[in-house]
Amino acid sequence: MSYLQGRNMIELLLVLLLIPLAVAIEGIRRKIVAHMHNRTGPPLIQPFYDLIKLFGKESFIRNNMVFSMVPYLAFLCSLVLALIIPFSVLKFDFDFLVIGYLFILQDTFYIFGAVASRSPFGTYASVRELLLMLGYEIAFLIVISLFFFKSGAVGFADYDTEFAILQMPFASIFLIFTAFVILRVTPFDVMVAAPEISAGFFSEYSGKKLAFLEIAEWLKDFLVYVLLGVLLFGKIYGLVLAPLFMFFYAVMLTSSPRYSTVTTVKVFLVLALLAFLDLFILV
Amino acid sequence: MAFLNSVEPLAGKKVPEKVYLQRLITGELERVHSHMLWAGVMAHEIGLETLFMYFWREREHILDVFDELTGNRVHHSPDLIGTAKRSFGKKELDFMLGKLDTIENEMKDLREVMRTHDVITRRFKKHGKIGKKMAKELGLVGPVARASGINYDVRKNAPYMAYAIKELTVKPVLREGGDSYERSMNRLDEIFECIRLLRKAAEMIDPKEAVPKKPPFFVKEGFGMGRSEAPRGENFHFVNVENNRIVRLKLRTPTLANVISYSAILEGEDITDVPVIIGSLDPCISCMERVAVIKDGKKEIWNSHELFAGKKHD
Repeated sequence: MSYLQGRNMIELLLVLLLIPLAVAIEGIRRKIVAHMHNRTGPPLIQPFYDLIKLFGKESFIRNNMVFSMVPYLAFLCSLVLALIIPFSVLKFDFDFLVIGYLFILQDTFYIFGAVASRSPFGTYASVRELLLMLGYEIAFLIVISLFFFKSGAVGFADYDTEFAILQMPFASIFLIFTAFVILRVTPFDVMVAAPEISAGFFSEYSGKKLAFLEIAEWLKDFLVYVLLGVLLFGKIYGLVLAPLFMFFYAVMLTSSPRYSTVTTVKVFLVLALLAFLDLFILV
Repeated sequence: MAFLNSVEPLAGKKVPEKVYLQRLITGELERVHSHMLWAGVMAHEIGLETLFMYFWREREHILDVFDELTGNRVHHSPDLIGTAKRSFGKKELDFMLGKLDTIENEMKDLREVMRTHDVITRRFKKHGKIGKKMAKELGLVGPVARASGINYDVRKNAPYMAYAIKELTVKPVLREGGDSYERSMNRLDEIFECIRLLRKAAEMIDPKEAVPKKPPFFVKEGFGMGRSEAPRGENFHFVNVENNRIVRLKLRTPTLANVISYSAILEGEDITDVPVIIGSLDPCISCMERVAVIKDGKKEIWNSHELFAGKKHD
């Protein structure tokens, strides 16, 4: 716990409070989506009801260690992200690379769980995710590194550029594009395409395990909004403008159909190449 | 309607024109509602839930019209052999015409979205192609066949009931190519043709005329065959009657005719496009699922597994 020295427990508690906040944000997002769909939508605290119900349900347990461990590991990934991103409770040099690795790690856990469940839906989702990872994860790592190189910061806590979106528009656009996949938003959400592969990675999960997966996803989504806000608009404006991204992605989710898998993979491979080019131009 | 087509000649009753017109109205409304439901599902298949909700919002208007006309929203069954359960008056018909204007305006916009949206056309075009020759060989029916260029519509080729009236002749919507996009546009265009027929029929119907009471009839023995153009295509019924009881009823639903094309058109397609292609054929899986055997007052329902496992019919 040497990284946490000199920090008091209040900051840690603050991070734990982010979990209910993320769940509440999910409630608001559902309301926006419902409004776009021209329907009333669930009450704002519906995600909390969902979680209470899931925790109360018995889990369908398989004698499969990888399958059982994945939800907790994925949740842990989101929690460590929450320590780094908004308040830098955990800070060290080059922690922005760890942000990228944690996103990759979480998706890798999902792939392990889905393959271990031996569900064809999960396997198909894994294949799609792996194909996309070649494109979007590389682009994502390069692009966040770009932002930090440009500002000369060595860690998330030192990042102090404001309105980077005006200084580096291409990198900003790439970042917004990669977030489509990370947030599973149409038109690039082929790994959760319900009519094709049911619930994708989560097809076989139930009860408490599903609840942990859901919290992990919602917390991750919330942190992506904050990360986008901070990187594109700076620390102070970013926290204020983060809900704007939630709104933007909710509108995109409801206003665009899904591309086919082949098209999506092509788009993100091109995006990774462009991100490389961007890196060379800057260096 | 196919059942009525097969039974009514057996019963030998003269059916008044008003009843025929009422059947045309419910039949065409049924078609509009079916196509809207399908269009919503199609939007869902490509992940556009908003369009799904918009199509189903328009479908609600049709259900309201059904409620007004027949008293029920979904399972209305307004027909009796030789007559109808209710007579449509002026109030009901005016309500329907008002709703039709709303639907027509909204559907024009929604069809434009389906026709021009970049991602939708990218997903629909060139997938699940059925050529004219192939459609003819497989014996496809309904909008699926008409999108491949086959000019076949039971309402036009073998006019029954009110479709035999000259003013209500159907102009089938025809297209060439037969991919998912053509099938989709064919159905959406058909909605406008239905609305035209509905307006014409509402004009011709006499709101003051009452429908006859349920006539008594007795059929000693005989069999009848009837067909009609259901929303998904040709529907065929074979009825065998003995002592005023149905002893055998064979249905050939349009999905049963179209389902044969799956193996041919899904070959070589990506798994992403499978829901779109299957959806574009508008399958009604429950229409093909079961066999019911009623013998000595005992009812037994077979599902597909039992049927394929070789349960013998005795």
